[in-house]
Amino acid sequence: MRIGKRLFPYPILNSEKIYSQYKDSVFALQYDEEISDDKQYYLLNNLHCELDNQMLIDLINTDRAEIVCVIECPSTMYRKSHVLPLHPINMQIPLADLNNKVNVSAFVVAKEDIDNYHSDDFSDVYGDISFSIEKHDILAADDGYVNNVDFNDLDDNKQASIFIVIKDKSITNGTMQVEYDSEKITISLPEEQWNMYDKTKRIPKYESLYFSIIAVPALCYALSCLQKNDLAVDILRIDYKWFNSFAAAYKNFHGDELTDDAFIKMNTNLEAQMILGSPVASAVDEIFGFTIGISGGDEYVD
Amino acid sequence: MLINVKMMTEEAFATLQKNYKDVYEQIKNHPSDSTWLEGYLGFNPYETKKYLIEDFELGDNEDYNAVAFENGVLLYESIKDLPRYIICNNRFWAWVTFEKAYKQAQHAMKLTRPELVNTFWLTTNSRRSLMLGVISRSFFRTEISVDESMSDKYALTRRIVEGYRGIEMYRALTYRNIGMLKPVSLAFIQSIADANEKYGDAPLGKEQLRETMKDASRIGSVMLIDDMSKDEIYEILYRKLEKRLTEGFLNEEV
Repeated sequence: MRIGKRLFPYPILNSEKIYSQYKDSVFALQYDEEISDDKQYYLLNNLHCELDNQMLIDLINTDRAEIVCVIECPSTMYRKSHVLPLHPINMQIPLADLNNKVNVSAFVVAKEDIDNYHSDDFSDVYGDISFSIEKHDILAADDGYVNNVDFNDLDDNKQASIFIVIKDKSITNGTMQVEYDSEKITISLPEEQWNMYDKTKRIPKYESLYFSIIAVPALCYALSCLQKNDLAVDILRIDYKWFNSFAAAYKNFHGDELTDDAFIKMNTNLEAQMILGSPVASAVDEIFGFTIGISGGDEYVD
Repeated sequence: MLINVKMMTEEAFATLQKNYKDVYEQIKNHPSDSTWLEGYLGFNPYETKKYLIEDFELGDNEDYNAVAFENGVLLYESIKDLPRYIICNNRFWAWVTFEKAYKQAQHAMKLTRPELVNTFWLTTNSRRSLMLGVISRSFFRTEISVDESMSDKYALTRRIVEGYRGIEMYRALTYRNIGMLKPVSLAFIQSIADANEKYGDAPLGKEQLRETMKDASRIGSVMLIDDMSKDEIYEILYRKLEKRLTEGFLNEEV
């Protein structure tokens, strides 16, 4: 749940200083996220809210207000709220109930109607004014964080490919078409060529060849499109699962995290080849070896 | 008998989406079962998952309204304990639709043009698309309306499936994200149902449904609606709805 710039008819303490109607007080959601060792739970460890406004602390301690943490995952329609104590706790959520973006936010909420609501730390513009608060009114808010939970079925137990290759009967001009969405890069081939591809894709000696003519240009195209979006790498990693896998492979290959600057300056053609194991040279080697193998070298021309 | 749930494979799903005009023709030419799928694709369309459910067989009737409520409840009872990752996955619903409810899907919504295949049989993974899918809607319509606190926990489900303006009520809940909160959906259905019982059909137009849903959103603009009970939300929604209805009557009389 996002509060963002929303205006309230009374002052609220917002974690974003520019939207807060308090002078100095702080309300900040904090936790360490991780996946449990048995891969069954999404863990929010040391979950708590930093709060230094005594008036709000007193309301919580006297049971007139409470801290509520809202956890939501749009793609699984999961949305649950939990009352938090003032001290840190650990929380676990079944991993299979989450997928993709997970938003964790926190609020201080009135548990009853409160008259004469006033804090000495209200912005100066409010002076000595006090307010009438109704039960369930939001008194403090932290929109929190959007995290990416990439749930992988345990029974699959393998790394999912970032590509899908399918047939498209409507392609009649012999071209290969590439699209991408939040999950995968989809490569469409004419039906006849897809049938041939499907029968030969598991033959090891064709692997580099297929990577060179299908996967490299597809990844290069998709990366080039994202470069033009001018979005931060962190956002792209949340929005596109295949890009998140690419960024992880980039780190494995180069030893450094993929930064915004590195991505903008990236030669996508070269990077796609490197991340996919430089298949072009291997493909040429395979074609050469295959040709020599079937012709005894008669077709080799220097 | 327990069965493993399945999902349509990513390749199968993407292929059918891309070639939806073919799929439309195939369904028209093979209305009784989907055994054509494997031949069309050239590979097994489904992958088996580890999760087990009690096997189910949905009722079928050319007048689908005659079986819609019972099918929704049966589907809900059969799969409600599956992880959300499965329940909110369009490839799971593609398996249910093509394999478990192939004929029912054709009766639930007449396939009058190819585009409907992609819109309602091969939905996206968005909340709205899943909630409107030709078979998935039966599940979600039940899920948002089952009220464990009532003596007949499916009373509101029956109301939204078979009652006056039920389709519009469900659509209103589908179109607003706040409709995914169970206390909101229950309070919304209950308030409309109670107003309908007290004031009859005539004053309860689409506009009143939209306004009532907007009222729910307005509650969430200042209050933390996640923290509110069905009864608290109902009290606000019904009071505002009744006020609009009675003021409407007064205006007409004037």
